[in-house]
Amino acid sequence: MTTTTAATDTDTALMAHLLRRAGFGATRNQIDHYLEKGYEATVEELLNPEYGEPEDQDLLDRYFIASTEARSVGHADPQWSWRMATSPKQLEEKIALFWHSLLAVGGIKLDHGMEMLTEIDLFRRVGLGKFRTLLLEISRNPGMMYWLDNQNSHKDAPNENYGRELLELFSMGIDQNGEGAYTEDDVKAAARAFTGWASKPTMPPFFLGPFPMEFRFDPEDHDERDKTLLGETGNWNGDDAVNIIVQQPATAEFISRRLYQFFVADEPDQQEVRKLADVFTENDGEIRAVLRAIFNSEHFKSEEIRFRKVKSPAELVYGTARLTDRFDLPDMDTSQLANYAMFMGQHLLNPPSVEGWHEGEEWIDSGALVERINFASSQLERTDAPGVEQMLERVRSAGDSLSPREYVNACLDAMGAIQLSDRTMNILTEHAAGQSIHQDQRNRATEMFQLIASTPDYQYC
Amino acid sequence: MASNGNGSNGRAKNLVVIQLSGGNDYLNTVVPYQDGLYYDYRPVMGLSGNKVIPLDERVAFNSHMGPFKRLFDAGKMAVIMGIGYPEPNRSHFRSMDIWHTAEPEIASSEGWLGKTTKAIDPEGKNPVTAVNFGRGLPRALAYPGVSVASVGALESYGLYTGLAGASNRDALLDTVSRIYQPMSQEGFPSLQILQTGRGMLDGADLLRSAPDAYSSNVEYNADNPIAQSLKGVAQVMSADLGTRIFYTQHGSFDTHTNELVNHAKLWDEVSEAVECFWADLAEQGQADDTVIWMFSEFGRRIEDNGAGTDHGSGGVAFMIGNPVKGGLHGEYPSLDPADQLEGDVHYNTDYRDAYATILDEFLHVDSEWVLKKKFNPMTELVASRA
Amino acid sequence: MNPVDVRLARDGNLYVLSRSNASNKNVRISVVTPIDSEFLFEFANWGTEPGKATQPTAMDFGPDDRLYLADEFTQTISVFEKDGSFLTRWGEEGSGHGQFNRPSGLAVDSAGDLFVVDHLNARVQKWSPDGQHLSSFGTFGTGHGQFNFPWGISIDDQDHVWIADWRNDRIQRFSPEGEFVSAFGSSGNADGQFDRPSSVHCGRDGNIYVSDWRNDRVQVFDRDGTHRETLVGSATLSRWCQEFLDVNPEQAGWRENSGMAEREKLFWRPAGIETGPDGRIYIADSCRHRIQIYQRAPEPALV
Repeated sequence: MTTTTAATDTDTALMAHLLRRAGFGATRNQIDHYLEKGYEATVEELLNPEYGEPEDQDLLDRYFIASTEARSVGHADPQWSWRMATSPKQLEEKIALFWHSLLAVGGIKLDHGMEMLTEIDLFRRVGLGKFRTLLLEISRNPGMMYWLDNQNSHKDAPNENYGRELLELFSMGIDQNGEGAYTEDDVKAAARAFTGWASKPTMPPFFLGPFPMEFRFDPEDHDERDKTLLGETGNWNGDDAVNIIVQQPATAEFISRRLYQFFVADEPDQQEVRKLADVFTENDGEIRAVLRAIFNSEHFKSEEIRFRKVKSPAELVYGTARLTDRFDLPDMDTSQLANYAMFMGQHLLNPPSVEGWHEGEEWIDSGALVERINFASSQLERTDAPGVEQMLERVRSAGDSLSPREYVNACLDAMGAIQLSDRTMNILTEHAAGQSIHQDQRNRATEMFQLIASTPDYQYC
Repeated sequence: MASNGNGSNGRAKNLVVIQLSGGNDYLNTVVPYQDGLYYDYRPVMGLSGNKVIPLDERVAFNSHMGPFKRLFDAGKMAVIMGIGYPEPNRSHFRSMDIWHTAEPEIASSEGWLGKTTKAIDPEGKNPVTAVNFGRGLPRALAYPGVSVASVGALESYGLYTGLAGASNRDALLDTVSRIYQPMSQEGFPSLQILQTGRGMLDGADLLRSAPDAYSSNVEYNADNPIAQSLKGVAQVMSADLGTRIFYTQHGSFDTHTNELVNHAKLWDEVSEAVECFWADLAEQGQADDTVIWMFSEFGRRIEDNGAGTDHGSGGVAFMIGNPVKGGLHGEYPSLDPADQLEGDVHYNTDYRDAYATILDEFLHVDSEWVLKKKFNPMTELVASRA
Repeated sequence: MNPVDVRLARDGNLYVLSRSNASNKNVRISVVTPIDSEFLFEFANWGTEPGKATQPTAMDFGPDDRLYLADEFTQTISVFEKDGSFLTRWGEEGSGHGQFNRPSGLAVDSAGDLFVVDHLNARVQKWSPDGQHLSSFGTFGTGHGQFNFPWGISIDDQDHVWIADWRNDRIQRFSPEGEFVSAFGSSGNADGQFDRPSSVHCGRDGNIYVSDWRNDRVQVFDRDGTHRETLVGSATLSRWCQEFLDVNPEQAGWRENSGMAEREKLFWRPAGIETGPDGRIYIADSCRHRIQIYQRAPEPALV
């Protein structure tokens, strides 16, 4: 392991790690708050958010009136952006982000911002519960039905799009050779089970704003004949198909692997994934149980997997925004945050395809890196932001007789107990040792914060 | 995909894309000014008399396209009439996606120009092979493994240029430059990220220095955003950084209301900017090696709505350059009710035929690889080589 | 494109103030004829410079036919001639004397002085027509004379000041000097209850109209706060809507097939209200991009 432990307090570093993964990260003061609570209690708090309309929903609607009736994705942005930047229920937003990329609906084809927000809220509501419930709800989701052409799937002419993606991308997955634990006949059977499932015709959005989309089942257009799906034969409807699919070992394995890649490391550890698949099966596919197993595992807690995940643009943007702790009322900056994520390659509410986003190092190309560094460094120069004030105060209170290395460590600790690789640490230490042009201690610290946020190391969480 | 973007004379070819965002009203851009149906459908928005500049006995430019008329008369501008794709989509976003990905049927995340960039620079050696003038990457330029610089203004491109505070930009850059060295690493941070960072810093240096090497007698209007973007294109071109694909956009052409005023202003801006750029290309010695491609995601309804026009389909595109054979290409689609498509003009040229022309005839990139299918290059658009 | 306020000029033209999100720049004051919805001109389009608007909240005419416009982003009051030509603007961010923190409502009294709801400062400020700060009243809280994110404002024919005390779910009435007079309303969705009232309007007919924003309805009261009537929206197709459907036949088809004709009529987040001398009531139906017009007795006329 090449990381230099900045926080001598290993509990602090571990708590920071948990909050970066289960959420978007926390300020140093928030980490202290959770340390008092304890690790497992924090895990439980994260895992059990109370679902409901947030108290500040009225404010969002008031200031972003066009997002209340979001016609397009562009109108809808501020709603989710605000939640990711401010919600105290971090895992609720993080799991929504996870499902948004796994059960991806493309906002552009749908062209209905309000429906996209409804889906995000669906993920908040049931995203930590039983996978069966989630898959049933998403299969009855009018946006999903429209996106994958199920309104064109008829009794005598089934459209295979939903049936195929349900198996390949949403539940059982395929291996590197493109092989799944299902056959083409299973795809056809699943498609037939979903005939007659569609979104109701809705009002055209261009003229009086959007109307909510609604699901419709048309029994007349449903194939009532027997179907054999994954070895089970019967007159299956979509609900039955989901029930069959969620019990497949391949589903337990696939969902566990995706959870691992999102919450633990870009590169899956097969042994760990298998353990999680067992937890999935033993708990009837409850996502909360799998995440509990993840966060409480020695593997997750080990230093080995820290900083093994490239931050997605959303993680970088909202993580840094939370560090500044300056979003107390919805304003123009709130909606701007979503634009920054888009500039970095992640247009929220509009994943590029049904595959969602490709995570990991693919996030980072040179154009995106310019945006990442410029964004993070410009956020951290807001010394009037409460979070940055707090960081400056922490560095100041660490004393004025610090060695250059201690100084860098103090800055890292103030930024939420983060860590650097040895090589980066050495270069920043040299920077700190150099003749600083800053007489002002605040400017010196701000410059170090900006440098830390510019490192390749900061691109990981 | 063996290709290098070089033309037949061995000189590198440049493609400059100008996207008219928002859905440019075809019928009021290239006006069927002798067609009574046009005036029937456009009681308010119809252009006639001194509001049009006739090109022939049937069609005319909007009077706010004077500079375009001069390019047209010089034989450098091909006007591609009735361009579109089957089963038109009237959503801005979806239709723009269709143009960007060259995929009218399925949702795709791969841009046709991103793929073209990949063909020109397969290993991504040059971080500025494609440059986008604007913030955020258009999907046209998105492709796995392809890095594209998105430039607001060249002078302020790069790291830390937006910082307002006391931070010392040079000191920051100096240290960051030491960190982003592609040295062997144990995974954190990965070699790939270090390499990407190196490319980012090199690319930024290249682009920011471009204005220094540039001089021109052409004066671009400082208050015209598309003129300023095209000036940036000329600067990067003249700096010879190896950039082949230049992307710009202007808008919004979404003229539901107040169209007569807004559409006129947009075309004043675009045509003035393109004429300046055209003059600059000649001055920079790039005119023989550059093609300008202008498109919009859709045309608008045939019938006006009293104050403007709503989303439609079927449009007009422009190809401009010395390598281009100017003139009107294709038939003006009929406005006869029987020939309409749900209130729009029927497209008669597939936009991918135009893409294939650009790829095969001008950039010398295999269009079949980029477009995944063989389309018909419009060889009649190619000027006979001198 | 979300209408938030509506005012009639003395010449009978209707001024409609629209705003949008930060990234969608569809901000403007549109001027139309109220009878046949003829578009005349627009001004105060998106921008931060003088003469523009970024996040406008409310507007009102002075006795000299000048139009005052509040903008909660630029923290200013702008003044226009009724033909849209810009005259001046004033205001800056802050909590001090004569400073604003998101001005939200605006109304002119009979003498031509302005009352501006300075909502994050939880107070109402009084200004002379030329931008001299005169006085202010109100503090944050739930008691009489206190405010919690107040929004709309209206001044009646006795120069009493009525405030939509948004997050307190009530309407408060003040004397011309800013002394508390009375209040009505509580949280809920029964008659006389509110879920975030956005706007209050003292009608020419003597009624008090309240846009009950999150209940998607307009409630009508007498001056004592007694509930008289509830409007939920009765929109018919406006001329512009009809024209849109005429040239967009496939959209007209979707509309036919959707079976949502009843739903289409309803208010969605109503905001600013105006009444005309002819008994008409104009309601900015902010999330449905339209003005609903009622004819006082008997039936809604058109939209």
